[in-house]
Amino acid sequence: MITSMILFPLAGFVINGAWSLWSARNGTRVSPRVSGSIATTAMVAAFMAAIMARAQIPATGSIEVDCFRWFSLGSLSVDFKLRLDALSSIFTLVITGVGAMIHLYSVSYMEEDEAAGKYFAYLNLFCFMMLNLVLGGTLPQVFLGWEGVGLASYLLIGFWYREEANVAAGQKAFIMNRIGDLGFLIAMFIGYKYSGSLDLTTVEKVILPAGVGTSFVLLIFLACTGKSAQLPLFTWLPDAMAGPTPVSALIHAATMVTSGVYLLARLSPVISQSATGMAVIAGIGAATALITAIIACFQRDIKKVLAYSTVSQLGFMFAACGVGAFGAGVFHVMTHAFFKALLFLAAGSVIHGLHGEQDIFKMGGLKKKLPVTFWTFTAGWAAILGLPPFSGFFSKDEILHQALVSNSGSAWLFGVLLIAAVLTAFYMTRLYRLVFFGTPRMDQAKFDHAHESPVPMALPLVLLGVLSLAGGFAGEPVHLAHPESALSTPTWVIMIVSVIAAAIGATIAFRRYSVSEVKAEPTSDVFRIDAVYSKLFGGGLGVIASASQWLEERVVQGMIRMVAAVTDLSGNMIRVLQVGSAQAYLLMMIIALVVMVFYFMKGVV
Amino acid sequence: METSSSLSFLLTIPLLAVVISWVIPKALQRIYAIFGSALILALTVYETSGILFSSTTEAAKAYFVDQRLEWVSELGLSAGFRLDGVSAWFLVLSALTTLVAFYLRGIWYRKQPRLFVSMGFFLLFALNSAFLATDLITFYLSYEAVFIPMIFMVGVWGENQKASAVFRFFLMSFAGSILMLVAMFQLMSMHHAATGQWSSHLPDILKVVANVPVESLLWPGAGFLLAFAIKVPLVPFHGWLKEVYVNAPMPGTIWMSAILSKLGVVGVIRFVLPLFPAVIKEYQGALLAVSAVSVIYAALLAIRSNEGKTLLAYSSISHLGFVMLGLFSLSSEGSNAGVLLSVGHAVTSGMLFYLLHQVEERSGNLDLTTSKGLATAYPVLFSGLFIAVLASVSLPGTLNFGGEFLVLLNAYRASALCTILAALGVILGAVYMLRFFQRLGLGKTGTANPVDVLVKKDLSLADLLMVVLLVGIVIYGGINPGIFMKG
Repeated sequence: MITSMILFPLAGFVINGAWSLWSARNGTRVSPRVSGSIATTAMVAAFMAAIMARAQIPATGSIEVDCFRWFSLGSLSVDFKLRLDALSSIFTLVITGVGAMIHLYSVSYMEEDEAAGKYFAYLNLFCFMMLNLVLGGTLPQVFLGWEGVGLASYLLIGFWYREEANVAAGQKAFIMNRIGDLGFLIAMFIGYKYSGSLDLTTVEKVILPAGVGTSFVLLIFLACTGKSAQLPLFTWLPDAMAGPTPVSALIHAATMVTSGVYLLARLSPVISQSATGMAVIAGIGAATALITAIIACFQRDIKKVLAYSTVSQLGFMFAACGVGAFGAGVFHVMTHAFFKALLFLAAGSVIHGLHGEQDIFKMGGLKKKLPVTFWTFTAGWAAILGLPPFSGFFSKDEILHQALVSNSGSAWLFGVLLIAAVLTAFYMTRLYRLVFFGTPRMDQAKFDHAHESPVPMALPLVLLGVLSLAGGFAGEPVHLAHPESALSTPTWVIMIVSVIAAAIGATIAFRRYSVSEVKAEPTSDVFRIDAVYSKLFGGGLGVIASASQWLEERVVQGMIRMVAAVTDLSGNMIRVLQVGSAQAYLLMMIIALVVMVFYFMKGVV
Repeated sequence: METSSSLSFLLTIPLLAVVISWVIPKALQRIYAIFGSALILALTVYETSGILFSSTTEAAKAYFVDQRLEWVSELGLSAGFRLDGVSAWFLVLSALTTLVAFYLRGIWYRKQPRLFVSMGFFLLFALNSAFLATDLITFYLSYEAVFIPMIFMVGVWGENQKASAVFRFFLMSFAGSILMLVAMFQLMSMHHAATGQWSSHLPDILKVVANVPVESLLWPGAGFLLAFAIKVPLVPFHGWLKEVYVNAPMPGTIWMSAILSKLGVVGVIRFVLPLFPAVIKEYQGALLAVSAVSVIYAALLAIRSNEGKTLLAYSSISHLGFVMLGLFSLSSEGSNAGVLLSVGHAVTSGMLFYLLHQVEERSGNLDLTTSKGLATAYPVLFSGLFIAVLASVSLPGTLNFGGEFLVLLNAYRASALCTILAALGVILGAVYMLRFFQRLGLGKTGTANPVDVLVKKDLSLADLLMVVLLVGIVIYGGINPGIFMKG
């Protein structure tokens, strides 16, 4: 059952990939409907398999399936094996379930695109790799998934590759992820050095010496900051919005970017050994949550707001992991997958309805025009604000609670996250208000043409809306995945405080944007982090590369020119050799050799 | 199969192919070359299948073969060959590379095709002889014989009329092998001093060298190392490489990058590590550092390259730096990982240069300063190129991942610092390879000069067949890399 779960998307990838290539070569088109149906069917089948596989997991423990020996060398052997337990099961359900809905949505969304076959192939490839990541029983296999989802992400961000900007965004994502991957690689070397194995079951229990343990945690976390877009490596995610919107929903909101949380939760026994490492994770998580929530308040592009919001919500999850509340982090992964996928898909529906408009200051009054989108978006909005009884309420309150009461929690951490929660309510309400209410701020023609999306797009919205509403009640089973951080019941005080915080943010935004003439605000990246990076790292790499080039041209090639000058003394001979035949050259070499042999032996004997 | 006759057979067949090429009509040379090299590849796989496909190194050992031929025994002139878990794979690789090189269409089949084909087969013979050699003189002769066809490649079918300049660069690597020759004579005279007899046979010399003080082995060791450092090459001995790669015709570049560079790798495994273990141990830190610097420095040069072939040439140096890092970690695991990565590099770089030639035929040049946007017009070609790019950046699931991963894993135990430095190459590799692909394939179409475009269609079925073969190896090796580690 587990094996078939990963084989379905693989089969979908192979079929659509081969079909696309073949038609590209023959100049024919792949039918978006048919290829989309193949891909969606594969995902629905995988979802069924994931449900059935979950039923087979014993109460405590896991199912392991050994597939084949991947490689072995000396005392190291790495098997390709799948391991399903409560933790990976949650992720497989989210990946295949939300994945299937987004595939279905894409069938309509990509209807007009001539490269739809390729799109669906990539989307299936992504799901295959993502399942490898969460089901892998050894670190190299997790790494296969880790880099594999990065590849799919690169391909899909730059899907419309004729635009240089899209390609650049894809490359930025790939390279920033590779910086993180370096941390993963070196952490594996450390893990192997101290545990003698790369099996997860061994590595996650290894006891590392204090200093080494901290380096291990920080290296793993470096990998997480890349994949899950945390400080300092978060700047690729807003750019990643260059890809098709369903991709943003699936990869850059619901699944791939939560890989870091999975990895920390998976390795939690060894991660928890380092107090320093944990403090860094909590600190970075909270800082990311706050900083990107601020930036989100200054965005005009509907997808960019949601992108910064994703980074900020991921920061909440890492803050939870950092205080040891891995279960709360994973719980928020799940609820966030529901409501953020929903928000992105609804945004896609808005963009689709307005024929490509993404500026929220050029929207407004769409409530009546797009009723399904409006009502489902409302559910997502309520969930991310954390209004009871929507799903986000449960998971976010638990993170806030843990940030305050757990052993490594503090009032500071709680305070930062609470401010981030106020800001979250502000920027989401700002978006919500500007898109759906008030008077339309676009041409009358555009407004008249605005239309609700067809059923394949509306159905996933409704399903995700239901999950955003009710998903919070699934907290109990999620926490079984992490018995060491049992479900805590947030106290009434914290619940009330967090709801009030959300209400404050929402009210400010509602009042501010309820004036009849909304003044357009300029986009700002506030902290200019991207610009600083490109100066610092782009510039830095440029300087080092130029230095190498100088060294190469002046010193190394200079050396060569010297050798050449010496050999030019026998220039005539070179010319003779050059026009000579092979036999002549061979003969000369043999003569030279024989002479040398005799000369040398004479000297020795 | 386990008789020594298989060795003579493997060596004779390419020579036979040289002779036959002299009587084949010009028009049929390409067909002959392709079928000839494919047949040799098949025979090589068949003759070495006992080693290639046995499940473990222990099982493979039953098929290892040693052979020794006496020439002038009073002078110690003999020939020695050994087929083992390392040489078997390099024989297969040299036959495969020759097939890939012969498969390319180009000026070499219009201008003196007979010379081209006979030189190609002669190169195969020299390579095989060098990979098998366990005798110093045999190795030296084969190692030098490799130069002959390469000089012809550049001189006769070279890109520009800069043959004499390029010849100078060859001389530099020639200079390295002279030092190796001197080192060989020193070793032989040590043997003579100890036993009173001349021998150039490696097992004989190993016995003697074990009792020689380390100080006396320093210079011979340095001679060998320098020769191989130039051949591979390691920074800063790489100065000759760019001009030669760029000016050679594409088949020549394929041979050089895919297989000639591996002469240095095999040389280190077969001669340097067993002959001078104490010397290497003493200087291990420096050797690891040089390897790591090679990875980084060449990657930086690749980032700065504005021409496709130049970029791949530097990328080749960078990858071979990883291989050498594996060898100098001084463990059998490190060496095995180095062999695995060598196989990966050979297949991947063969594929990259092969497809780069197809790109050049369709765009007229390989300038990387502006985007060409060719992927829209040639989707199949660029899909193949993209897979090669992924293999080159060692994405897990491709052949190169296992090699690079295991090299770094084992090198980490020898030197964490050098390993981390080299591992930075993982990031830099992504930087230059993605840029390489982007500038050729992505962006808006239309910067190619239509006058220069020779081929307007996407990959032909015949070319597609070759690409499928290479992609198959890359993916199979990604799933089952163990097959390449029998050392």
